Amino acid sequence: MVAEDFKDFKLKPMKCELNYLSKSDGSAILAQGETVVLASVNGPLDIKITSQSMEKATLEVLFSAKGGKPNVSDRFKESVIRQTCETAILGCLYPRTGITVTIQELEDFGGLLTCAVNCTCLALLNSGLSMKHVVAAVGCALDDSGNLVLEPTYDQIQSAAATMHFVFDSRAKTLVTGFTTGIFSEGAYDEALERCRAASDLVFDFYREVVATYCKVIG
Amino acid sequence: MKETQISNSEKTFVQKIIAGGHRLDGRIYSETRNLQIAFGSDYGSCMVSLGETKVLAQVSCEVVQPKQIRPNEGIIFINVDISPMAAPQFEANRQTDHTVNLNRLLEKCYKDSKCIDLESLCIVVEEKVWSLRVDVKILNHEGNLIECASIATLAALAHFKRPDVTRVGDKVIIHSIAEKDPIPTVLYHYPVCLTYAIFGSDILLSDPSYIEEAVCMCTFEEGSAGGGLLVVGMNQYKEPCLLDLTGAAIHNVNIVHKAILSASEKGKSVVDVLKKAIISDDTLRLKRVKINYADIITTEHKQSLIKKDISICLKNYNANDINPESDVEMDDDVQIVEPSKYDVVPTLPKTAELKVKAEKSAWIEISSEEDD
Repeated sequence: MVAEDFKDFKLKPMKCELNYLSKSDGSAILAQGETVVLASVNGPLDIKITSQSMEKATLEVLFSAKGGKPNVSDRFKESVIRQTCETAILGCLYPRTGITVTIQELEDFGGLLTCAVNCTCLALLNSGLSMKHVVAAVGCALDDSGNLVLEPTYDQIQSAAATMHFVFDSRAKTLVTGFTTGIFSEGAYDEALERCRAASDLVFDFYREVVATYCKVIG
Repeated sequence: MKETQISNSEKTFVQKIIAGGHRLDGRIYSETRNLQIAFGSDYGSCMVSLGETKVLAQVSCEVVQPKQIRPNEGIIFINVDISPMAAPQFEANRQTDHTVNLNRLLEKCYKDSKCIDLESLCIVVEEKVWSLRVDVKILNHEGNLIECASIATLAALAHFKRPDVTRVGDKVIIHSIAEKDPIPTVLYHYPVCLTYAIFGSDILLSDPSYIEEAVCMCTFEEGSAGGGLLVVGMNQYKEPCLLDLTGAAIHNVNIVHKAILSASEKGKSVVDVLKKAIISDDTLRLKRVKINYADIITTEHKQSLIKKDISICLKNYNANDINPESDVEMDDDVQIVEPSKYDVVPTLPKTAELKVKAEKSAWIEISSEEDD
């Protein structure tokens, strides 16, 4: 399967503002379609001796939903984002320190987790922490008739047979994180992976665009 | 991470300029920062920013069994969450004195002032009532959290609409928003908390910034009157609902009176702004315009250190007065310096004086080795 086959896709319009919060070392607010997420990064910080690590920085990720009591799905999102960030951040440069990433959901119209991963990446870029590569998350859904829908809406997710989310790195476009729900065939998974990989280019282009506009102000 | 301590020089400087009638950000004593209210796509979701302080509030509701002593009243629950997003010194999922204090003040202001019609939240007496939960999330802490959080809570409560219910025999049917129009919460009055920082014995600063809050709470060595933070809860009818003092005892009785008078004016203006925001949001929703937090993302605000984002400025200084073109040409301007009207003239030993210029200025020599 060749990536050039799927050139007819479009992602939801993305809108981003960096430095949204004045107290954090880095912050970003990202809207992907109607889903909006706010992320802040603080670090490297001085932390308790018990949680310090000799080899690398201790990464702490907090995901906070808009309202209601904290629940298990928030913890799941935290662990996905933490594992993704751990591969991206060059933690060995900051031993015995802590890095705190806080994510606040503002609107959820589907694709909350992919938006949160992308927003966290932008906040990390803004904070100036050293990173091996940037990451881009893309999600897709498999509907009942076996068609793949890139970046599904809230209703499409509810009626989908399966949803798949992939996170790619910027250098070799290798898969960093993948998580799925529902039942699907191996072929569908491979197709979804290739399509999302091709679509991740658009996200990386968007990152470049955002960073370029902000660099103009500095320079 | 531990909170960064404020240095002595910062403390003395802030105290000195405030005693001299100035504030770090160029405001006058009674001036508040810019208030902005943005609503989300759901009912009862709003983000309030007071200057750079930002608070998100979300109201949610569920049907629960009422309390036994109040069988016909709904329940309201306020939960304040200060995450490390607000400032690095806050720890995640940990109740600190700050959180508890903020939560208690909001409860006092909204539960104890009885501004919400709890009886209208009753569905079946002794069996089913609505329970409203207000989640207040602090996004950015740049001082005066109480005022910002209270405006956010009030805006969220006033904006919130709960689903309609119908009773069929013993059954209660909850209609979704698409089926039946939701019902707004009944508010008898709109109380807001306004914060004043007390400096010395008679200076009142409204809407203190982070550094002003910290400086007014710290103790002074020279035995002068200590300051404190005075929170006044005031509704739109100019009735006080809450008074709270943190810090040193007040030396001057008039200061409370002065704060209440000022709060009554300010409280009304805040409620007016809030009501106007809710009405304009309602009319937009009636026109089926989609309202979303994505609207607050702008491209104007790019770097936290440019122009309008300068947090410290002179009293008569407006960052917007400078247009970007003149900034670029600054270097050229330097060369066309107008000749000075004054001239430096040596007078007494080791001193010089400014005198109206007679001719072109030239270098002068002041001998410093002269004997007295």
